[in-house]
Formats: sequence, C-alpha cells, structure tokens
Amino acid sequence: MAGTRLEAWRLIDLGMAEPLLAQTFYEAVASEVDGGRSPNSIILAQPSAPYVCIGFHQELEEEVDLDYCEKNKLAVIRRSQGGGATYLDGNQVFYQVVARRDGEVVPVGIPELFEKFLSVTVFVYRKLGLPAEYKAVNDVVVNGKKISGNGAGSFGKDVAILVGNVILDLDYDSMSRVLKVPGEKFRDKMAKSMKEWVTSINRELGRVPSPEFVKALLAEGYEKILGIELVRSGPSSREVETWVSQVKPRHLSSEWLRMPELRHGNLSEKRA
Amino acid sequence: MLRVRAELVGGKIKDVMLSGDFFMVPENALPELESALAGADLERDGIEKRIFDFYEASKIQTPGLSPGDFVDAIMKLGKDARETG
Repeated sequence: MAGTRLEAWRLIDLGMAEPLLAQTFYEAVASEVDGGRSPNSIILAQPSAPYVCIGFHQELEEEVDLDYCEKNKLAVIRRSQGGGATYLDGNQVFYQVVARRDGEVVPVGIPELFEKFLSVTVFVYRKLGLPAEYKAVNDVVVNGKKISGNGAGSFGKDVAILVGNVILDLDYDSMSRVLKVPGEKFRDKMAKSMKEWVTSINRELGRVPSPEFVKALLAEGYEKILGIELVRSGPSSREVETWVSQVKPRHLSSEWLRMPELRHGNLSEKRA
Repeated sequence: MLRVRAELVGGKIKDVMLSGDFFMVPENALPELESALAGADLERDGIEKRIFDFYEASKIQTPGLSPGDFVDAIMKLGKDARETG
C-alpha cells in the first residue's frame, strides 16, 4: 500500500523563455523522466517572442507563409506533437506535463489522459469566472468556443506527455496572416471564422489576469485534481545539457522542419 | 485534415506520404504505417486489412481519427494520384 503520502511531482517555471525553449524544453525533461533520473514534472512557460508552430505531421510549406515569417522574423517550429499550425505569443501560458504511466495518476489511454488533465485547465478558467467545459477529445470551451489548445504524445517506453495553453489573449490577424491560404480574400474569411470558434480570456472577460496568477491557479489545480504535491525546482543540469546538445539542434535542422517532405522526396518534389 | 500523396505503379502503391493536423501516439509510428501500405493494391479490402493490422500490432492511438478515416483518405487516391506505371 502506498499509504496516504501524495506523489511528489516537480514544478518547473521557465518564466518568459525564447520560443524554442518554451516550445521544446519538455523533450529534454521527457528524456530524463524516461530514464528515471528526473521525477514526473509539470513545466510552465510563456514564449518571449511570437512564433509559428506546426503539428508534427504537417508539411511546412503547405501550412505556413514562409516568406511572411522570414520578413517578420518569426521562428517556425515543428512541435513533437500532432495537431494544426498556430501562431503563439506571450499572451499564452504554456503547461507541459511529462509523467510516467506507471503510477496511479496518469491514465494509459490518450482520451482519458486529456479528460483528466484538462479538468485542471477547466478549473483555472472557472476560477477566473468563465463557464469552461471539457470537450472531447482535446478541447476546453467557453460558451461553445475553444479557449485552450492541447496535444498529447509519448516518449520512450512509458512516458506520457500533455502540452497545452491558457489563452490570455489572441492576435487573430497574425494568426490568419502566418498561415498559407489560397488568396487574400480567403484570409479575411479565415480571420472571421477563427473569431467564431476560438476565444480568449480577454475577449470573454474584458481583462487579462496576470500570468503569475494563472500559473498559481494551474499549480493549485494540478495538486487538487490529480492528488499530487508539487515541488518547485529548476531543471536539472542533465536536462539543460540534453536540450542544448540534442533537442535544440534537432529542431533547428532542415531534416526536422521538413520531415514528412524529406521522407518522401520523390513525392513532394513532383507536387503541383 | 488528412492529406495523402502517393505514387501508384500498375494500380499498386509504390510510395505514400500521410500528413495533416492529426495526432498519433507514438508520433514516430507514422513512417511505419506508410511502409505498411507500400506495395498494396489500391483496393479497399486490402488497404483496410493493412491499416487495421497495423493499429493492432503497433498499439498506436490516433485520438479523433479512426483507422477507417485513413482507409477513406487513401481510397480517394484513385483520382488524385500520379500513375507512373
């Protein structure tokens, strides 16, 4: 019997971090958690600059207006989880859960993982006064509109990963500007339809809570809902070393950024 | 959305690329699924069997997307794919 002692997880707050660090540091943590050298962890961060993030299985040039991103010095990052292309900036608070499935806290099934961990996201929005609800498979909605983007994955033998964000505010124009569209008319339509299906705390409440307050609510929610104890700590030196020597160079490489295309050079070269 | 590009030779899939905004856990199983489809006749029963067998053997999870969605997307190839054989 485990008794009444709560599982201790680590809480790492990266603060305002450069986009690549904010988006990918959890991969270094996952490697250490998988190796049994780091405890289950929750990472919180905000990107210090805007960037574009594509899903693991997306084709870069099909999704993103690369000329626009280059001209506007926007980094483009392929995340290690699936989902769609999006524009992210400091008005989103990221949470990234990295945990072994061998305890009682982490469900094996992905839908169950989303449902359990997104109840924390729901808790945060409700504490802020919004009528948030979980919507299967990976959404949190307020008044029918999506207000949190989430993805899940796995690492190594038995590590589950869940990444997502609390949306303080959204820049709809930039969101629609960075994506590739058939024509400019379509871009206006896309910005309009985004406003119909995605919202933010600012749009719903008319004010933006401080990121620190949101992070405190997230920590409270994880402890209460998962039944764990969070211990604040920095990353380990091995995690920093893994990020610098492996994760960062991998994400900056053309092989990673153009992964599906390069896997099938023959097919993508000949496309119309 | 699921995008399929393929090269067909004599009615068989020579190479196929699956991309889109879906989730697959583990994510790096996708190339193996693509490989499992190489050499298949573009015919529903056979494609279905290969995809269902792959799900069974690899224990992948694709939340929000069913094995049948992959089958349907691939069967649409008929009109879009380049026939080089």
